[in-house]
Order: sequence, then structure tokens, then C-alpha cells
Amino acid sequence: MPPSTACTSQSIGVYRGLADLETFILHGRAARLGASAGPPLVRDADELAAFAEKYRIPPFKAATFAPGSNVRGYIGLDGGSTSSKAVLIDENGDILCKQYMLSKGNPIADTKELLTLLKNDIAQQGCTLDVLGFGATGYAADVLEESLAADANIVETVAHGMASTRFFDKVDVICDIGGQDIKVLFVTHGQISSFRLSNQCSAGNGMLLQAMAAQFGVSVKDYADVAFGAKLSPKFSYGCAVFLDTDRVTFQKEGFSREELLAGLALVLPKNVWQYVAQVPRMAALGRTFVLQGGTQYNLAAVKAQHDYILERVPDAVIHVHPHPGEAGALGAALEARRVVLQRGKSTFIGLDAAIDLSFTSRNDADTVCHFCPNHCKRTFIDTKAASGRTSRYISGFSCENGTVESKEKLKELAQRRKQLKAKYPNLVDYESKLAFQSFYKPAPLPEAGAPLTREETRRNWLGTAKKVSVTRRMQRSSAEDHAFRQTIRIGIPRVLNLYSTAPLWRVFFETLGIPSANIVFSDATTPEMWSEGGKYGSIDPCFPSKVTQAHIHHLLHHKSREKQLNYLFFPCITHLPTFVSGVMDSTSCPIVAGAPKVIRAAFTKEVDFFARAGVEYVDAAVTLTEPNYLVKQLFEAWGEKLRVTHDECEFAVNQGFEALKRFDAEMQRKGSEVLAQLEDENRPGLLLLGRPYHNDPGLNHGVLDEFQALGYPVLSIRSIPKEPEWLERFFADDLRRGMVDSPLSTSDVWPENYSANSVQKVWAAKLAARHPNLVVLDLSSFKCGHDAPTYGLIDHILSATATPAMNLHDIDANKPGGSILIRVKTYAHTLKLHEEKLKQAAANRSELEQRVAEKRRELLALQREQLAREADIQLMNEAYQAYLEADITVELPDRDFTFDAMGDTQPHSARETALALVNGHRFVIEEQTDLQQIQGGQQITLNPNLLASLNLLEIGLKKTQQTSCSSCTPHSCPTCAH
Amino acid sequence: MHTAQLPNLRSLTHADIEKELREFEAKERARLGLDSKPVEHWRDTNPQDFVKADRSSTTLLCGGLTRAQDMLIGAALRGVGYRVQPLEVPDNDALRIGKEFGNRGQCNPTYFTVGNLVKHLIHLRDEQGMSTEQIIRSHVFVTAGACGPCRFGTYATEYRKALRDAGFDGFRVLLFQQKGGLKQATGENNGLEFNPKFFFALIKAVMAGDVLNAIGYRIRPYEIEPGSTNRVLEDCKRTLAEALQHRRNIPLALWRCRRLLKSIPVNRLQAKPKVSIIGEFWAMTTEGDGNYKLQQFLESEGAEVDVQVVTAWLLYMLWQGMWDTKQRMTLPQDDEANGGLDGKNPRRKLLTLWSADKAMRGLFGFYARLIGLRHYKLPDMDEIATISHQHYDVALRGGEGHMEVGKLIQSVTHKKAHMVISVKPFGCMPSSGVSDGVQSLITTKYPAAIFSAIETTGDGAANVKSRIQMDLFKAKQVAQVEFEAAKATSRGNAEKHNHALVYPHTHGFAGTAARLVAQP
Ligand code: SF4
Ligand code: SF4
Ligand code: SF4
Repeated sequence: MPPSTACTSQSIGVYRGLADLETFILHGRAARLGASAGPPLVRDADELAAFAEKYRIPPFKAATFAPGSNVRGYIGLDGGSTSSKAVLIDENGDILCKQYMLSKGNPIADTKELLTLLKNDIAQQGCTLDVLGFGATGYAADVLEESLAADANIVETVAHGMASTRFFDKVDVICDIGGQDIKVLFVTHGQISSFRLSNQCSAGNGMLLQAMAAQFGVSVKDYADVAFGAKLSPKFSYGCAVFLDTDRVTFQKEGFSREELLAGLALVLPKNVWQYVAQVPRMAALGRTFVLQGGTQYNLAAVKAQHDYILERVPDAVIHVHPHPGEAGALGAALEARRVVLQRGKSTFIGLDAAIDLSFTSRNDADTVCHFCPNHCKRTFIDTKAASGRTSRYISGFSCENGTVESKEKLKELAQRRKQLKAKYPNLVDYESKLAFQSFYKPAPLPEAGAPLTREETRRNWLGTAKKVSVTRRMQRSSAEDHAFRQTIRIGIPRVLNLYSTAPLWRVFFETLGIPSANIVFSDATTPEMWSEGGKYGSIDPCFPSKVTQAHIHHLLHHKSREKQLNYLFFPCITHLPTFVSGVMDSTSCPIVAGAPKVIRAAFTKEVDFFARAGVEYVDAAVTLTEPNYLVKQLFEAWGEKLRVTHDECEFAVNQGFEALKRFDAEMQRKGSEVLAQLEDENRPGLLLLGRPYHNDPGLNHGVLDEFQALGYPVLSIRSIPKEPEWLERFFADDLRRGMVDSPLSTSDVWPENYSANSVQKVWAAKLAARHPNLVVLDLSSFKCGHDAPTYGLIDHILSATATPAMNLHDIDANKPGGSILIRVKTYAHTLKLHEEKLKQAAANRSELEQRVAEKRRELLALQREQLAREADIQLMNEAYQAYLEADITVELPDRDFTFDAMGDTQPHSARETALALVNGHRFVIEEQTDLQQIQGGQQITLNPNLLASLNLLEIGLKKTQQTSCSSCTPHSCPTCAH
Repeated sequence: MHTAQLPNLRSLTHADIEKELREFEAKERARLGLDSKPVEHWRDTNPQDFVKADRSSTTLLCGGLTRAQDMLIGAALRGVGYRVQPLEVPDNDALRIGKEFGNRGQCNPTYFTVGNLVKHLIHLRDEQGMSTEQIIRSHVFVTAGACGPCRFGTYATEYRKALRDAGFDGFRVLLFQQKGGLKQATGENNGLEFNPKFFFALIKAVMAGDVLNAIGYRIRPYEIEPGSTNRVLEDCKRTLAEALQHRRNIPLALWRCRRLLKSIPVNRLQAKPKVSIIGEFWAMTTEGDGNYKLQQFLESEGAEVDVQVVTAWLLYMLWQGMWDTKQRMTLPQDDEANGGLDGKNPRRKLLTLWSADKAMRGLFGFYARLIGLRHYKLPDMDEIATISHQHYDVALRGGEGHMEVGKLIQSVTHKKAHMVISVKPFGCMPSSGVSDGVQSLITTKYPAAIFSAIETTGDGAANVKSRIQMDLFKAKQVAQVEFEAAKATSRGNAEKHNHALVYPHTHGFAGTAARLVAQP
């Protein structure tokens, strides 16, 4: 049919051959897309070849054995929710064989199957397998620990860390991309110091790549080959998988090819990892050795993308791909089992065959529901029975520890155990949080009216020049009616912010003035319920500790005041706080803390005056706790009329308040000293909380400290650390000697801009932890905290310099952090366990050293005696010695028993000489002079060096001398007299 | 102690034994892993060594105020013998660098200013090819310090951290205390002398910049030829900078500026909404990405902007000192802590602060008259304190303290502006964490006030700007209504006064055009 004229004239629809299309595909398309597209994964074949040569993971070859041999090794198992892996390692830790399977839903069934596979691997070679130990990690680890009596149950992060450091020397960052999740682990001093996880979101994990590849009909094995074929790549925006898929659709429409799309997806993976999951602003700060793990590393395209991304940001990075990327978790578990068994000398594992033959039932019905509280958690019981008759029950699905038991008796036992635990491993943070609001100090009674008050006052002339004069006045008292009136007053105070460190002052201030103790009402500690009920007034969104104050005010108005009417609600604007740190620029509160009462006033009076409605007067005076005299004025202005008190009464009450604060500190330090002494004695670590006072609120710290207490680590607060310079000098002796600081309580060497009271106390506590072998750190900060922000870097520097273990939770907020907090706690607990082992080992080594040195001394002295005997007339010398002994020795023992410090060598900073002493036949190492005087004031020690030679020991003669003091001494400090 | 020597026989002496034991113990320690070397604890070296001899070879870096002020401060310090390089106004790159090298959780001004310094040093290294050692040796950064309580006091900590992490460990950051008075710790040989000469130079530059900025914001919205005001302002800056640098007559320079400014043709008879910018000090002062170039944006949207002068901030510092002293003067006993008067002479202190306040106001007024800035009133600090105290205790410090609340109340009650924008940097403690909450009460009390509190995060400019546009639309209507009302009272001599330097202050009106037509 001839073409129509219309068509011819418009020349459309004419087939012009493939040439144009080809040209377009070859050049035009690329030119069009290229403008917005990114580079390909590799520039050319050479680059690809070189890269593959370096990074392709060599195929794994299982070990072979001579038939009939007995293979000995440890099994590690990583039980995940979608797949499980197991490895068998030999006694050196090398992998013999490994197995992988998709999970079928029951961890015990999966484990049995994996163990059978491993057993078969060995059996097929005609060999037998002797399992020396078994370790588990992953979500199945707890049930396996219970049912198989696993030797090790370690958290995934630690397992991956161990697998990595097994192959590479100095690892800084481990990036594990599995099918389901992404883990980025940061390593400091060989330990995992922090990590980021993504397990809810699929952005960038292996599954996503696999699913995307499947959409193009590409198997995940061929992913890399296809993606490397791209000459350019579309630029996916990083983030959630949903966005990635939207991008994919758009790019497909724009004309990107399958190769390019897969390349683009591989290239967005590192962005997801580092920017979305890890949120690292500067990768170079993490270090330079990166290890890539996880099954996704078998995909070379993903490795190439990661490799280039890292190198672009850390030009001198060393990047490794783990040789067993998919089994790193299982390998870590096996290595830990090996470590534990070697250390313990035996395995608890029920045995390979017993495990394979284990029978089990899993129940989740009305009988397994927990009825210990109205939550009625639906639990699952997994009961196992081994051929040997050993049974076990594993319970899951509970929301609190009570759910781990099944009967009331067991619950009682549990409570009993908890109580013991509390006593044995005190949580002083918790104690402090309770003590602060208790009535523990009985104020002195107000002086009688007319009683003389003498004090030094400042008088200034008209030029302003000051003169101090002693003034005696008569105490002015308010009337008896006023006093009676005060006994009816009820004052509510929110249990928030710096009230956690100053509550004793306020309580005692009011109590001194005659307000009954029971009428001083604090809101309860923060709970999620309190927050959800009362957190609705605010128009601003600062840190949680500040936001939560509204819920406390609400609680006071709607609960406490309804129970019994409150007259006042007192929420002081505390601008300055007392501090123990010396030489600071100032000692201020955070502006948010100081201003919070004003925000509350605005929020509670904006549309409706909630205070008026509740019949409560709100008092939010600004107070300066670093200036006691000014504080009297401030409080008199705020309360004088309201409470009908005189200025003298107010002043007296303020002084009593400060006295209560002192007692509060003293009590906490007393407890702290006890805990520290115990830790030192037992060579164990204790957790020092670096937090602001209100992080003592269980609703703010979300009970994370309890987790550590349950693991057997006592918890100390900054307040509970003894502050006597004499005690602290043990740790700061070197700093003082070198003039780095002028007081052990100074932070000027690390932070000159030290005006924020609570921040500087945190920094000081970090300094102490860096110097005290038994202290490890938990650093808590609230999300959005402005005063903590400058301390992050400082505390990190201070603690890293001495490799002090530390766990940071810098973003705590209203919600209890979910699953990841548990992993975090377990990860840190592992570090603490190793630290404790180190402490114990060091103590054992020190005592070995002492012994060895003492032995050596004996040896040398024996040798010396022998030499002397050879050279002198031994008979004559012995006679002379005997004569001497009889003439000279007078040992008068002191009237009372005395004890000596621990062995001199265990003192971390003992600069003083030590001497051996033989008293009552016991050997001691004592510190010269000072300690002896403490032991027995007024008794002087005579040391007879010649005796040393014959007795191998230094003998002390204690002679009573007159107690005298020399002219140069100051009380309690003179080493030469007993003054 | 037990070093007694046995007779000189050929056997082992005690000294031999002790020596051998020491050696043995050392070996055993090493074997047992007890051979720990003394640990070197971390310390912040905080290098401050800048001596007089290095003055000619050392460049002082500074900046952080308005463009004009940064330039004039540079010139003024050159005038007193320093080599100075003011930094650029911080942009989003500076913010990014600040976030990269700073601690997490800082406020935006910290990131912007800290990032800006690091950015400059990176530029010197990577683009100008200077070695890090050279940069560290030949540059110092000078800035104002504070004793908190907000992050302003820890800028120096943050500067040092970012410098360390960015590879400039050892770079010197020198601070003068903004409340430290005219004489601050300076040794004989100090390269940088914080003496009266230094501070007078600073104050002159700040005030000259203030009056120039203030007058610029008054003229630019009404210029007939677009760009003419900025051109003249550039000439003025140059004139003032030369005078400051060569220590010539500043009043004369200001007078010259006045002549230049006077020549700008304007039409003030346009009803433009007047928008007062208040908020956190740095965020409301900067003219870059730190506040989304807010001033420029508002002008481009047809508003006249009323900015806060830096001098007002200095007056606030003085006021704090006076208030604190007065509060404590009557105490029977003095306290020792920071604010206490123990060992101090409160009367002398008050007199000094009072004189400084008067001198500053005098100098500002003098400069303002010379340049032609009429009817410009520096804030009455006591009045602001009184009106804000019940809402925001004046003892609360950090950032602008109660001033943000006080200025808002003043703006709405005194009809100073049609609209108020309070700029709150992301993460700011006093501004976003406190005064924002209190301001919401004030706006509830004065529902007619057009008020926007904007949070500057660095990104999200589009959102912020569209919110401002919405409010500005309302403000424009208010301005128009006011203008029409003013016209009704007009005596018809507005045209006569329609000049660049005429800026009437007619009671009861906020808009410039309305004031002009309604003036008696
Ligand atoms: S497990 Fe705990 S929370 Fe759940 S029902 Fe039992 S007691 Fe209640
Ligand atoms: S110190 Fe931090 S956590 Fe506490 S109120 Fe201030 S910003 Fe919030
Ligand atoms: S006032 Fe706010 S923004 Fe400014 S330095 Fe302080 S905290 Fe940062």
C-alpha cells in the first residue's frame, strides 16, 4: 500500500533501521542519563581484575582427616531468626568445617539439625568427633545456654568482634551486613566500645539486594557480575527500603538498564550503612582498619562499593574482608567457648549426641501465662529432656524478671535473691536517689527568742571599703501562732532536675522552720505512666529531664494535692550549685535547669491557671546555692511573708539546710568508701555512673544500672566517691608532683572552661576512673543535652588514654530504649568480665611476684650466710650473735590489736618505702612511719638492720616513748612526732 | 633504711643483694606483665604562647558579628598594631565542618562559628598550600569568652576539640572575657595585650558598625534605585575602616558617611511592615546561613527590618554586673563565690559599670548623630528587666536571658514593630529550651501580636521562609491599615521629609511611612 501523503509529508512512522536506536543506546542514552547519573562500580576490566584478586573470598575447603582419627574441637552456633550457622574449630581456633541452614522456626530443632550436619561432616571421613565445648550466640543463645548447658552464651556484637580480631591485628571498625541486619561495631583497645544496629529496617541489608536482584531475574550469586557490567549508575537516595524501591521504579522509567540499577543499588549500600545506620559524621575519626563481615560480603559489587566509599573518606584506610564473613558470629561463639573451657578447665556442654537426641516440647497456652501482675504476659515454656535424664525449662516472653519463675515460692526466692544482690553489690545511685528525698537529718531547734547571735559582719564606709566587725544580736523569733500556722502548711516539690542533689537542703530548710516532715511532699520518681499522663502542657521540646518536670507538677497537683491539699508548690530556679571540684570558673546550673520552673509557670498559667484551680500557690524563686548569705536573702524574699518567719529564722534554717547537704554527701561517701574498699580487696570492677544528679531517677536512667547490679557489679555515683584529698592523692600523686593540678579535685588540666557544676563533676569523675583500677564507667546523657555536649570529647580522651572501659548512652530519652539496650548491656558486660579477669590476673601476678622476690631474698641471704660462714669462724660469730640477742631484744607489743594495710606492692601509687615486719610471728608489709603511727600513736619503731641478715626479715621492737611534738609540725601531719 | 653494710668481706653485701633483688624483680615484673609503664594521662594543652616578638609574623583571626563589624574590627586591630584577618560570615559549609569535627549535641551557633574557623584553616592548607605547622605558627584565633552558663562559655573547648580532630592540634585560641573589664591578665611579653587600647579599638569598631548597620536597614527598603544603599554602605565601610586602621578621626569619617548616605534617593511613603528581629544573640546578628540570611530575605519580601545592635548586648553585660552587685550590697556578710562581694568594693564596681554604661550610650549617641541615625534609642535595661522579671527571672542567665522575653513584650506594647521574629538556633538552651516556652505565654496574652519563633537548623530553610511569608502577609495588611489611618491625620508635609536621613518617631505608629505622614 502506498504511503499516504500526509504521512510522507510529516515523515513519521517511517522505519529507519536500527542504526539510530543503536547510536542512542550507545551514546545518546548515556549522554542523557549521564548528566544525572553517578559513576560505575569499576572503570575498566583491569581495575575489576585487580580488585577481585585482592578481595574475592577464597572458597572454603573443609579440613580432611585420616580415617579413624578422633577429631577434637569446639562448636560455635549462631542461631538467627532467619538462618542459623555453626562452625567447628580445632584446638587452635582454626575452622574445620561449617554449616548453614535457613531457620525452620524452632531454635532447638534447628540446632539439632546443624549439629547433626557437623557430626556427619566428620563421620563421612570415617572419624569420630569429640566436642570439647559449645558456645552460642544470636537470638537462640539463651535457650541453648539453658537446654544444652552451653559453655558460652555471648551477644552477637562480641561474637563478631572476636571473629574479627582473630584474623586481623588492629581492628577499628567492623561492618557486618547480614541478610537481615546491619551492625557497625567500633573497637577501642581491642574491645567493642560502641556500635550501631539496624535490625528493624531493611535499608541496605543483604535481603534487599537479593530481592532487588530477583526482580530483574538475577540470582544473588550473579549480582556482582551483572552490576560490574554497568558503565554508569543511577544515584539512589539513601534511607529506607521503600524509598529505594520508589527510586528504582523512577530510574527504570528513565531508561536505566538492569546492570546500572544493580550497580546503583550496590553503591547506595555504604551510604545506608554509614549515614543512615551508623550516622558517623566523620569516618576518619573511627580509625583506619575496617573489617567487612556478613554474608553480603560474598557479593563483590557490595564490597567494591564499600571499599571505594571508605577510601574516599579515609584515604589511608586498610580494608579487610573477613575470610568467613557469613559465619563470623558462630566463629566468635566457638572461640569464646574455647576460651571459657580452657580457663575453667572443663566443659558444661551436655555432649554432642545428647544434644542431637534431645527431646523437647514448646508450650504457649493459658498455663504458661504469667499472673504475677495485671500485665498477664503470654510466656512460652520450652522443656527439654536429654537421654541422661537431665531436664531444663527455658521461659521466654516475660516483661520483667518475675516472669522467669513459675510459682509463688520461687517468686519469694527471687525476691530474696534480689535483696541479697542489693546488699552484696550495692547500687549507690539508687540509694542516693532515695536518700536525697528522705528525712535523714534532724535539724537543730531554732534558738530561743532573744538568744545572743554573734557573727562577723561586713561594714562598708561611703567609699565602699569593707571592714569586718563582730556583731552580737538577739535572735528574733516569730510568734507561737505563726509557728502553729506553719505546722498546717503543706509544700509540694517536684522530684526532678537538681532537686536530686539539693532536696535535703530544701527539706531541712522547711523542717527547721516548723513545717512537719510529712507535709513536705515530693512527687514520685518518674514513670512512663506519669509521663504519659502529665506530659501535655509544654509547647517546647527540650531534653527529657526538663520536659518531664511538667508531668511531676501535674502529678503534684492532681494526685498529691488531691490526696491532701497542698498550699504551695515549690520549684526553685537554681542558678548555681555547690561543687566539690576546686578552682572552677563558676559553678552554674544548666540554663534549662535554671529556667525550667519559669517554663512551667508559663505552661501552667497560659490558658488556664492550673495552680489557682488547684488552690496551690506556685513559688519559683531564683536561688544561688554557692552564696549562702545571698541565699538567705533570696529565700526570705520568697518565703518570709508566706511562712511568717523572721529573717533570723530563715537564716538559721538555711544553715541547717546546708548542714543536711553535708550529711548527705558524707553518708554517700561513707557508702562509697565501703564499696571501693571491697572492690579493691576482691579485685573486682565497679561501675561509676557519669551522669547528672537527675540521672539517678530510675525513670530517666530506665533501670539500666539495675542490669549491671544483677550481673554482680556494684554501682557508684559521683557523690559517693570519697573526696578527702588524702585518699585521692593515691590516684593523683603523679599529677600533683608534676604540677599538672594543684589539687586532686581540680580539672584545670583537662578543661579550663569549667563553669558548669554538673558537667565538671562528670569530667572530674572520668579523671578518677582513668586512675582507679577498679572503676569502669557508664556515661549517661540525655538526648539534646547542651551541657553534656562539650564533655563528650573530653571524657572520651580521658578514658581512652588509659583504656578504661566505658559505655556511653548519650541519647537517653523518654522511652526505655528497647532491644538494642540489652545488646549494649550484654556487650559491655563482656568487656567488664574481661576487665575483671584482668584485675584478678594482675592481683595473682602481684602476689606471685611478692612470693618470688621473698624467695629470692631468702636464697640470697642463705647464700650470704654460707659465704660468711666460710670466711669467718662461724662458731665465734654464732656466740656473738647469741649474746647480742639476749642483751638487746625488747619487744613490747601494743596494748590493742592492730591491722596493717594490704601488701605494699598492691598499692597503686605507693611512693613510700616499705619494710617487712615480723609481729607476733606474722609477716606483714607495712608502710614506714605514717602508717605505724596510725597504728599506734605515740609508739616509736626501732629497726635493727643487722637482724635482717640473720632472720631474713626485719624485726621491729616497739618501745613506748613519750608523746611529744616537734616545733615544725602541723596537727596530724607530722611524720616525725605523733602529733 | 636497711642498708647496713656488713664488714668488708668477700661475701655478698646487702647492697649486692638489694641490687640483685632489684634486677630479679624487674625481670619478674616483665614476665608477669606487671611491667606497666607509667600511663600518660590525657590533658588539654590549650596552647596560649603568643609573644610580642611574634606579633609581626602572626595573623589574628577573628569574626562572628555582622559583616561590617568584622571588617571594622579587623581594621581597628590593625590600627593598634596587629596583623588581622577577619573570617568570612559562616555559611552552611562551616556548619557541616562544625558538625563533622565538633561534639554531638551542640547548638548551631557553636557549629557555625567553630566550623568557620576550621574551614578557614583547611582553606589555608588545601588551597593556599600552607603546611599545618606554618598555619599553627603564624595564626591565632581571638574571640570573646564567657563563664557560661550556656554553651557560649564552652566555645573555646569546642574550638580546641574541632581543631585537634581536624589536624590542627596546637592551634592557639585566645580568649578575652566579655565581662572581664578593660584590663585583663596580660603579661609583659604577651603578643596580644588585652588592654584599654585594645578594647577601645574594639568598641569603636563595634559601634561604628552598629550605627552603619542600623541606618542601612532603615534606608535600603525605601531606596529608589535598587542596590544604591549597598553601594554607599560599602563606601562607608571603607571610609570607616581606613580611619580606624590609620587611627584617624572617626567622627570625621562618620560625618563623611552621613554625606554619602544622605545622597541615596528614597521613597519612604511605602507602607512596609516593620519586622523586629530578636532572639539568640549570634543567630539574630549573623547575616549568613546561620539564620537563612533572614534580614536579606525579609527585605526582599518587602519588609523593613529592625535589628538589634551589638552595643545593646554590651549594655546587657554591664547591666548584669550592676544588678548582681546591687542585689548583694546590702547583705550583712559577703559571700566568697563568683558573684559574692567578698574582697570587692561594690561601690567602686557600681560606679565603674555605671560610667561604662553612660560612656557607651554617650559614644553610641555621638556616633549615631554624626552618621545621621536619628531617634535611635538604645534599650532601657531596667525597663526590660522590670517587664520581664515576673515571667523570666532576671537572675537567669545564658544567651540573651530575660531580654528575649522583655523585647517581645516591648515590641507588642510599645508598637515598635508590626511583627516580631525570635530566632532560636537549633539546640540553644536558653532560647529554645526556656524563653520559647515563656514567650508562648506572652503571645497568648497579646493575641493580636504577630510573632514567629523560628528555629534555625541549617536546613529546612524553605519551611521557615514560607512560615515567615505567611506571617508577613498579615503584617503587611496591618502596616497598610496603619498607613491609611495615618494618612487621615496627615498634615501634608510628608513629601518634604522624604529623605534618606529623615526617620521620624511619631508616637502610636510602628511603620515608617505611617510615622512620616502622621508626624506633626
Ligand atoms: S512477666 Fe512481669 S510484667 Fe509480665 S505478667 Fe509477669 S510479673 Fe507482670
Ligand atoms: S544539663 Fe542537659 S539534660 Fe540537664 S537540663 Fe540541661 S540540657 Fe537538659
Ligand atoms: S545562647 Fe544558645 S545558641 Fe547561643 S551559645 Fe548559648 S546555647 Fe548556643
